[in-house]
Amino acid sequence: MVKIHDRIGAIVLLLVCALAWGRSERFPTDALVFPRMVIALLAILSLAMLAKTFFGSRATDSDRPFFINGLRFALTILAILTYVFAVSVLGYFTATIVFLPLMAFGLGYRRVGPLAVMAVSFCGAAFLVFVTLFERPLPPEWILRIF
Amino acid sequence: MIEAFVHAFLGILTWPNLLAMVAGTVGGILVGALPGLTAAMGVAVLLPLTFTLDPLIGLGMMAGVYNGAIYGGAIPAILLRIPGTPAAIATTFDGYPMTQGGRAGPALQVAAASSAVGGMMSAIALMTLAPPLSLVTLAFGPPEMFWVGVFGLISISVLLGDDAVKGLISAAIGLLIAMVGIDPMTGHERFTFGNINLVSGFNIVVLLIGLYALPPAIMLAEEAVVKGIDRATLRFSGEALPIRTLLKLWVTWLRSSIIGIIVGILPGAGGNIAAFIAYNEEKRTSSDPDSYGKGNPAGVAAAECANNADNAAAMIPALTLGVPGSIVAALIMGGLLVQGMQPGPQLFRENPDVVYGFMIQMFLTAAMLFVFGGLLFARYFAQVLRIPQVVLMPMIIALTVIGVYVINNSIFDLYVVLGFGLLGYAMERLGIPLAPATLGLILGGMVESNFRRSLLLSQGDWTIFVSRGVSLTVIALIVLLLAYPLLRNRMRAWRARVGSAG
Repeated sequence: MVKIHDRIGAIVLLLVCALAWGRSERFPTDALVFPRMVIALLAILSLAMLAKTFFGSRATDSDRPFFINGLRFALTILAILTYVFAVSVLGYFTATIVFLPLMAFGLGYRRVGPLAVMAVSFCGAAFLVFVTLFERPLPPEWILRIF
Repeated sequence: MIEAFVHAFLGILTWPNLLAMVAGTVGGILVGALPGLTAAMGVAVLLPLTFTLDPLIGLGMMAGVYNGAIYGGAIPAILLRIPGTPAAIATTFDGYPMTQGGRAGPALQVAAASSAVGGMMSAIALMTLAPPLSLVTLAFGPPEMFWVGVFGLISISVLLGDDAVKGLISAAIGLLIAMVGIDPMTGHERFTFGNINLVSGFNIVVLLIGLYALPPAIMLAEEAVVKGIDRATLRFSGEALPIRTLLKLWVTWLRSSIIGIIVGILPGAGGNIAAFIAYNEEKRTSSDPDSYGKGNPAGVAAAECANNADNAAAMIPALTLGVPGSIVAALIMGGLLVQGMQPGPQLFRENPDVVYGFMIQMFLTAAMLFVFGGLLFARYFAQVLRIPQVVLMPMIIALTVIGVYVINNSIFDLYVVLGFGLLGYAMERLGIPLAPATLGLILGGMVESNFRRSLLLSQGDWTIFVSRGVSLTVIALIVLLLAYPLLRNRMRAWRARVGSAG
């Protein structure tokens, strides 16, 4: 199974090399040499990785799947994407105080009390460190925009 | 040089600096104690803070995280036989049997004292070797610096892990990503795809956080371990070893420190390799080798001393040549580069307070392990293992998001960090190591600029790369490195044949 993953990985890398090579046609000569050397090297190495999946020892193959849990992986990425979007729209602390307990709850932790404490403590600590101590601007909270 | 150290030492003796070192050490121990989180992740998440802090305060915190995390991995290694960091694998060999024999407290004490000694010896090596070595690089011109960069990339690709092809692929990926943005020599945009956010290239700190902080968090979510370790499992008795018992380990400490320092200087060979070599040497030279693996404190001492002795030594090639000896050293170097500090003799000349101050901070944070590694603190640090991974994971994501946002106040960076998190995840699952890509990102600009400068100097004559003694020496080392995987496989096959014949 690992060999199939390596084959897919090698093919993806070769496609990236092709795209990068084509893109580099627009560069002036001086700016072109080094990128093309690296792209060529990456392509050769990807071919070597692909070749190993056909000619390498079967003893080195294993049944390890690519994803530990594919469904949880997809949902986690979706959750993080949603969280990042929410940070930009609702503000950091609003998005975070919702994300922290919801994410943990979604992953199977069911004790609401500790989750609430964790969310409030984390946001409080983040406010103290980043806003009060370091005075770093964060995405503005939606409620402040209304008022 | 002594004047510079004294001046730097006085500069460190401020409350913010001391607090930063304590906070970093404590934070590092907590990060290291949690399996799945690494010293690299701890430093990567801290990197954005170095922008907002005085450079020396930021570096002090990173020095603390570095030393603290490598020791912190020993706590679950000893109590649960689960190494908190890869560098603590060898610690489980004798640490866990000591726990099984009711001697968890002495094991933790030996680990703390050994880590402190190893870290301090390594810092002394850094202070004595780095300044004179930086002057050697004055003899290096653009062709030599190009080959030194290539040497660093190849050594980390080949020495790390079993698959040199995947290691080199990782390095090439890093070099390619480093080219995104405006070419500094011609001003032409490369690989920006018309996106104005990519004109300045990717922020190195954003990339490093994406590669190191996100993949472990995603994997924690996939594993979804809902329960932490229960309190009863983390209990141990409080008897303390007498100091004279600990001091009997001085030979072990000396041998393991030297091994750790030598391994630390080599790019690609990390604390886990140092720990294994030191453990094997300790067993080999012992009058009672059969006692190893059954709870011999010297086994714990050798592993922990060597893995911490790797730390500061890994900064020697980083500060002098710009080629880091470990992945954490690469991250710290990334932090220095972003502050505008280039490795080499000019770093020691133009920023003596920062660079000498950092060396002293590596020493002091290692010494702090005598305090924070004590039984009282170990009891509290071990409690962090009760936090379920599913609760930790969203906190890591939230910390990553705020850390990345404060770098440039850019939402685009958040999507970049997620993209590189997915890349890092894919690379880890495919067995492609991240360290060479990191080095490619950090060294890419330096390697390319020295390559092009060399060609400019020689007016396009490529023989400039093979016409100087230092260049040829480095090329010979590169050839040896590339031959190493073949030699290693041949040795393994020969040993297997001899073993089966025997």
